[in-house]
Amino acid sequence: MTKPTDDHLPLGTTKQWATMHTWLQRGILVCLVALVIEGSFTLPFLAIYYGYPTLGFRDICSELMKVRYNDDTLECKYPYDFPGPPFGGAAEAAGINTAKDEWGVQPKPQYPRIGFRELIRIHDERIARQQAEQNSAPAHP
Amino acid sequence: MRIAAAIAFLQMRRWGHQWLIVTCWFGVVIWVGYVMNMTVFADLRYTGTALPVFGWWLYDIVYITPFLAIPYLHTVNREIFSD
Repeated sequence: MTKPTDDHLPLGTTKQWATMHTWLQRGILVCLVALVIEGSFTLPFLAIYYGYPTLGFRDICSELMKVRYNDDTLECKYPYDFPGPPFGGAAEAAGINTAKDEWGVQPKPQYPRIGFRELIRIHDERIARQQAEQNSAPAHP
Repeated sequence: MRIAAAIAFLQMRRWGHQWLIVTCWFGVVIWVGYVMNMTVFADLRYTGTALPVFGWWLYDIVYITPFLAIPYLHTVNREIFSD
């Protein structure tokens, strides 16, 4: 951006506001570029944080269901019903009362917070536990 | 509305300039509401996060564009826009 001079001002800028316009333009440009970068990296970052590509999107979805409702049997529906909730039918949590959250004017979520790629460990531990149970089952009929 | 206003603004029409200011105010309203929403009960919202409030501000601060664009648009020379 060139420094505005008296005889050569950008279109629409008056001499009175020349300096302020320069700084506002810089600020706006920084913000708009940052917003584009932020917007394009948010979802990839979340996907990697939750465990992609080790876990697929369906696995991540199901792991999150298990965590927030504190129930290992829950799975995400795929393919999803159409028109499914929220466009029709019972809500996702309808009939599920295993969640530990405290409800009220300000609900308090009581599910454990998910750390960086922690869902992979949770997923692997559950699979290992289930396999161990299956293997030990015939020994004790 | 904002897309239409932006196109008209680029075509240097007066109503495009005016509506860009109006939709910038929508952005201000949304920003203030969002800040309130995320600040009230922040202790609950950010339990267990790495950089609780600071990290959220870092993410949110770039949404202040309307605060910069409103003074800019108000000080643009209006004479050059066509009615």
